[in-house]
Amino acid sequence: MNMHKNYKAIDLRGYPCGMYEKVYQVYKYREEKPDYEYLGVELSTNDLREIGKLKKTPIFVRGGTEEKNRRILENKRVSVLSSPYPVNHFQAKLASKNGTAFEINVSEIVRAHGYARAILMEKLQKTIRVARKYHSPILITSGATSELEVKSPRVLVAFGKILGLEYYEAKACIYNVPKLILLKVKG
Amino acid sequence: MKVPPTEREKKRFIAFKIIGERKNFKKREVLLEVRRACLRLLGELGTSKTSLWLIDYKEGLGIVRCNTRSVDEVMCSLSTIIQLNKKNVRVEILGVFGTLRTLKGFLNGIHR
Repeated sequence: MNMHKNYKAIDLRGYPCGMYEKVYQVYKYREEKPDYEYLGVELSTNDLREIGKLKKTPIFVRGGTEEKNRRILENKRVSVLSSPYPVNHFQAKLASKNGTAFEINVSEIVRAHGYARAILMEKLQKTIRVARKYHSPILITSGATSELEVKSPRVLVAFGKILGLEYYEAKACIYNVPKLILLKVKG
Repeated sequence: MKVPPTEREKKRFIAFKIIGERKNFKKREVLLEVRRACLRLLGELGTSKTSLWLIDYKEGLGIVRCNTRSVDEVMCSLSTIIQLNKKNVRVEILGVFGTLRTLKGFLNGIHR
């Protein structure tokens, strides 16, 4: 009996558990594919050329510099931009035009400590501020890799709220946005 | 002088469960870790605004009290606890309640 089962949620980068409708596990492109039904792929920027080979699966690409982020966001087949900082207004506009979501990975915040966590949260808050202004999709994921890192959907909403989202927006980030991404991917 | 009900601070009770290698921690250990996690995430000024209090902890189940304005902050702080007394743990939030009576009813439902 858990109150949080009432929350409808899809975790696009997590560890399988009963709290979500669907949980996707993300593996790196050149690494071994895990034996699981729902899988997402994480590509590096050098592998973007091979994006055509990947079909019907959500594609994650990790950002870095402004130039790198822009190159990623110009590609319409990329579903999610992970570590979306630094993001400027131009990139936010591109993301909302192409339907690419900015990912907020909760486990990144949990793992960081001290000043590193403060900087990370500041960058995420800036990203959220710009994304809200240009209506770019934001996605909140747990980023869990083991049973002990699993977070309930309510906690993901709470993290969204403390980073500057409204309650209804944070709820959309864990259900409506992932659902739209999956619909887009499956065509 | 007695504070009138409208002037009193509104409270919320958060029930949580500790899952991990060990469950039988002392209340003092849990209290210190909850405080530490809150200070780490929110800082001293942020923690001062939460009215945080650990009400009870027994056999892996705990109750934390805070004010209505800082429920999300406290929930985030609790979920950043990954180690307790050098043991890997996970804090699962069971729910947020307005009164202790509803919370205890919910917990009795779990044990049944």
